[in-house]
Amino acid sequence: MAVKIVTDSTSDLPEDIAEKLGVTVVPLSVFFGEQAYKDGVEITREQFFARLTSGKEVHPRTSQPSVEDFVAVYKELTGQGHEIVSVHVSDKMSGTMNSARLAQAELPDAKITLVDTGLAALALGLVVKFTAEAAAAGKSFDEVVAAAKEASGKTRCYFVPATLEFLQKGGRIGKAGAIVGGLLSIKPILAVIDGEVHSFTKVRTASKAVAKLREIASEDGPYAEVGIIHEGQSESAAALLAHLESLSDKPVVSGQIGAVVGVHTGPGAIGIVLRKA
Amino acid sequence: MADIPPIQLTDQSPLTGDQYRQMFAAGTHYVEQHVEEINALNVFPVPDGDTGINMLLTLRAANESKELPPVGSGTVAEVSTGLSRGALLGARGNSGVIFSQFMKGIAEGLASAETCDGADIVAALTCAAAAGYQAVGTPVEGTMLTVMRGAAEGVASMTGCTTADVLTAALSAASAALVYTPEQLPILKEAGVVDAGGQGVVAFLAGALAFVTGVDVPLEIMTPLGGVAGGNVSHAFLEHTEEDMYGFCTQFVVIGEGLDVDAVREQVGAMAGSTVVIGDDRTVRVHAHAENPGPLLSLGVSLGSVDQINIQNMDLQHQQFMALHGYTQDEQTALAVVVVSPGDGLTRVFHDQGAAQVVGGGQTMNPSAAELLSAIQRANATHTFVLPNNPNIVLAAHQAAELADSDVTVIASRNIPQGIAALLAFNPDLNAEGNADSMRSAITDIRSGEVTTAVRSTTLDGMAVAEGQAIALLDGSLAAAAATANEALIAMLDVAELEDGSLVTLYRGAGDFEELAAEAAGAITARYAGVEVEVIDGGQPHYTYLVSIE
Repeated sequence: MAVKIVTDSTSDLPEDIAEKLGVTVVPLSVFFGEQAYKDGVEITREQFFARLTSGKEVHPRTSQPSVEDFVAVYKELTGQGHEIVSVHVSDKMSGTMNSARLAQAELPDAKITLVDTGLAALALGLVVKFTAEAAAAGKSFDEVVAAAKEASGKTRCYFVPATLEFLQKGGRIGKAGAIVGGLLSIKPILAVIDGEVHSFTKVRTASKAVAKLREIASEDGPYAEVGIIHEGQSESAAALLAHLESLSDKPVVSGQIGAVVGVHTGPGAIGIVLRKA
Repeated sequence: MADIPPIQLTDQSPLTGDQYRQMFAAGTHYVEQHVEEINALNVFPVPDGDTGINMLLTLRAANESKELPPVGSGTVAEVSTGLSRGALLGARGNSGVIFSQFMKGIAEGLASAETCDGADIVAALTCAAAAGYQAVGTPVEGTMLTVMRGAAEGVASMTGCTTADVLTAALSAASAALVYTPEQLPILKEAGVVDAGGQGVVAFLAGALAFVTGVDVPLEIMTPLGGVAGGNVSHAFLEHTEEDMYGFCTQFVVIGEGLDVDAVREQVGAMAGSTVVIGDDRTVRVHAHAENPGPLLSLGVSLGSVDQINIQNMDLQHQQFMALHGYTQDEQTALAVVVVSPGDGLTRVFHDQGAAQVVGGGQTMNPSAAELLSAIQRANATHTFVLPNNPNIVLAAHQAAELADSDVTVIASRNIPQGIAALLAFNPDLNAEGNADSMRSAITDIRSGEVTTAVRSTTLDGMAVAEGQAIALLDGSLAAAAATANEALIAMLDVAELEDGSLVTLYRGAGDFEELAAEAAGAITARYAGVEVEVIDGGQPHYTYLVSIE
């Protein structure tokens, strides 16, 4: 019997890390028109961004995992005698927590605790990683739950979408909505605060935006762990990664944006995740 | 102010409160008579903050102060306090703000004066000079501060003298200090001018002396190198008052012969509010706020040829503001930003980016401390940031901050690009301190350019400039002079050494510059690889382009 960690595919946790720590990832789905694809299972991030930028597609939508998806995962793990800490995307951004809650109610005898991290993307990913490491280190169920909650409160996430169009179309713009529109082209630096997307600051060029991310990262180090959120390969991402190396003893976790997160950030987004000890 | 009652002081008894008030009005009158010459003493050959106008409007606000005792009553202490309160609220431009601080000092010096004799004037001037130095963060010598201190030091040792004796000595010492200002400030020397604010102080003292002696005091005003053509009124000016921020702000110049300024002033005053009419028999500048600018222009046309017409729809600006902000002014917010904008397009940009209040004003139209204070109050926030966007509005913003009941932080943005950068850095979710830091830091990250037309010939920063040439300034220094605005712009950008990935934003001015700006944008992208250009309709007067480089 062990404590097992379940998360959802918005965590964008690199596959090798998820596998090594025995984390089960429940996929959300991406819809192109009527056709649904399970994130990372039925569509890779490369396939997704190729379709997104092909210019031939209507704007894709996303959908939370079904209750059955969670029930299946929870049943399998509890059937093996495990206890479950299920760590998820902010319920202000996704209905994923609702599905998980209903699944939990279906299994009254299973020992399952749900944690709303108030985060998304690799910020969620780093909380999941920390939680899974606590479980792997043999901590008690309560200690693992506490680790997930504590890490949620100590993890910050800043990102710069290439355009606000996708966040706006997907309805995930949160408190940053006011910055859409206007005469000037601007690069907003967004932050996930209290489970929602906020506008943190605004600059005029992509290079300044990346410089601002570096500045934000350097303001308050060192960190227990840092991560970089990116899509595709870019020089600025490589340079930002090199800068982040100096801010934590652990290697930087490099998280490519997956299909579901990509529906909302659009192509070319870049960001940082900072987790304090 | 045009009609000073011809009171002759027949004896040398101390001034009564009423006479003190008349002496002050006489000083104001002298500034008014020389307002054009004082305006012309600007260092840069660009339409700059009009020192003369700013001082005059500040002095007028003092004369019209609501806190003055009724005419014919009041002690000197009461009158000088009332004058000082009016100046404090009405101060505009750096020169006006500093002068209002002088007056605050004067009121302190006369705090227990029933009447005013020579010794009182000595005390008043001493306090005035001290108050001026205190008000300015880093006092610079060679400015009106120096001139006022000169006046104070020139009379410091006088005892038992009459007001006339003291004012004579003060004027003479102030004039000597004024003539010396180019030796203290190299930029004045290069431009061949004395300090304009200092000249205003001298004019004011001359007026005061003329009142107590009953004899006209001649005043010589140095003209800048290259001269100022008497008839060439080079820049328009603008002032707003709270009581009528609506209708059309209408400005123009009438050029003719045998013009009667006083008659024009009377006619304009009967047709519109917030009127300023100045000039001489050949050139008259008119500024007024009217429901309909037509009759004003018709009046101008009937008098001579009309030039430099500038009409702004203040109703429209007000409506846009109300529409954008949906009358949500009752709800108090934690943090807000008040900005000063010189043009419609820029006002829209500022609103887009979340400014709570936009005050009209800029290069040649400096808002008063009271206007800024009123905007701060309308913003209705517990902590307000003010972006003056002009070096000549910074002090008035500080004065407004002092007068406000709520917390106010002035972020000393010196131009529009800095103001926009600071506003973009504003985050209402953060605390005031964090915002102040990031807004200040945003200002240092940006380079700013301006392209305008030289209003006189001069040599500046080693560069010869001919009147009418296009000139470009980079971060406040002259960078290029050329035949056309676009040539000057490109030459300035050469000096700026653009990097790959730079963004150049051109805010084009009021006028028919759309095609010109499109050409400029094409020229810039062709010349500098990897540089992006964005053109925005700024709508500012006088400046073909305001430029941000980041």
